[in-house]
Amino acid sequence: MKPLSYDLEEVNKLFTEKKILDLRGIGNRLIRESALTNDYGKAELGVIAYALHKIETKSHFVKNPKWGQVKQAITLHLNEAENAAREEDQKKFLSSLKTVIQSIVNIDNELGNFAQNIYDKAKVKQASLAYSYGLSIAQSAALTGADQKELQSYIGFTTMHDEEPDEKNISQRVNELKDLLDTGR
Amino acid sequence: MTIKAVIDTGTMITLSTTCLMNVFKAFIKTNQIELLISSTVAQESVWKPITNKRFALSAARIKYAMSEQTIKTVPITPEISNAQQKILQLANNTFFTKDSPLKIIQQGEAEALALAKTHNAHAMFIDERTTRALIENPSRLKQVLERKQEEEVTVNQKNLDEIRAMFPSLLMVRSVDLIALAYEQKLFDHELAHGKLELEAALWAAKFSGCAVSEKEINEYLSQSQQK
Repeated sequence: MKPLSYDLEEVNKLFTEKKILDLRGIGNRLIRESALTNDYGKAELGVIAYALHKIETKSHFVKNPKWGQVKQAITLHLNEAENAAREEDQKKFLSSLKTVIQSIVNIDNELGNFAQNIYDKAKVKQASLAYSYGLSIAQSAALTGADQKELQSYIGFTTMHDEEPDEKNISQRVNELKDLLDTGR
Repeated sequence: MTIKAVIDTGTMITLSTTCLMNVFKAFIKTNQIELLISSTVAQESVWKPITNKRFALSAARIKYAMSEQTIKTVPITPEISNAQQKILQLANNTFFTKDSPLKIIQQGEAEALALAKTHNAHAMFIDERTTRALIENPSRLKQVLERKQEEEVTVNQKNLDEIRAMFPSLLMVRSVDLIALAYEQKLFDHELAHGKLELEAALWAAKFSGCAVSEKEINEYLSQSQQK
């Protein structure tokens, strides 16, 4: 597993070079690793990478001159976070990531078309990935800071539960419950 | 005799977002179930989402069910808190990758289990897959963890045995199972007509709300229920 400073450098590089799919890929890798190690810093960076990838796919963002300025600021703060991670300065690292997140939220409020902001959606999307790795819904939500209800609702519209069929089917569980209700009375 | 059951956040969310609270209330009353919820779970299903415009209405439905005493909110006692800490400690130190233990569950899920343990509940209403698999079939959970994480997962058997021994006969039930039994007991008329179409719609609505059930399972159940 790579150190966080390496991941920050990679995210920044891919973001600067507009390697959109790779940005998404590293976001997913970071979530996988954070699910394994319960590393909230990696999870946060995984959400940031996904949100940045999402923004870069939207032409009304990237064609807007304001985005260029915001992108420059984000690059700068990712760089600060990378240095802080290298120096193991947790406070500065978190504060730099927070500034990156705030920049994403602000530009989305200004240019975005949806009521739910890109960063919140990214938290839910990446939490669903953590859930697919076997963590519980609450643990997955906690890892990325996603809303548990939003996450549950999102997961419901995926095919995740079709891929891992339940051990007992509805009829078996209904029969067990019937038995309990009959014998308990 | 009354059956005691504990309900988890996810199941509350499924039943309220699918607008099946009246069917659920009738189910609880008809089957004389004493339904318990921990104060943290209440917080997760009502007080937090009620501030989110998208989910405020469903949270308000749960709040109403609590005010009607369909669901009893249980305050956290030191006994529940101790059991919760023990469950968290065991569950999150049972499965290991080469790097570290896998933290698979959170406070809320552990608290629901702790409530079931301390109140000798017969059943737990839980839509969530991981917590359910931990109690029902941990070897399957290990397989899922290994396959998805593409890493070997080892098990601390002592911890696993200990957590499973805490719940030797706790029946795990999902919202789709409750909906199916409510249909068989002809309780749909508290919200809907009693028909196959309504059953199918209700089961799919629960799936889309995040209940861990597969399409295959729903289709199998519908086809069996058509033959009855």
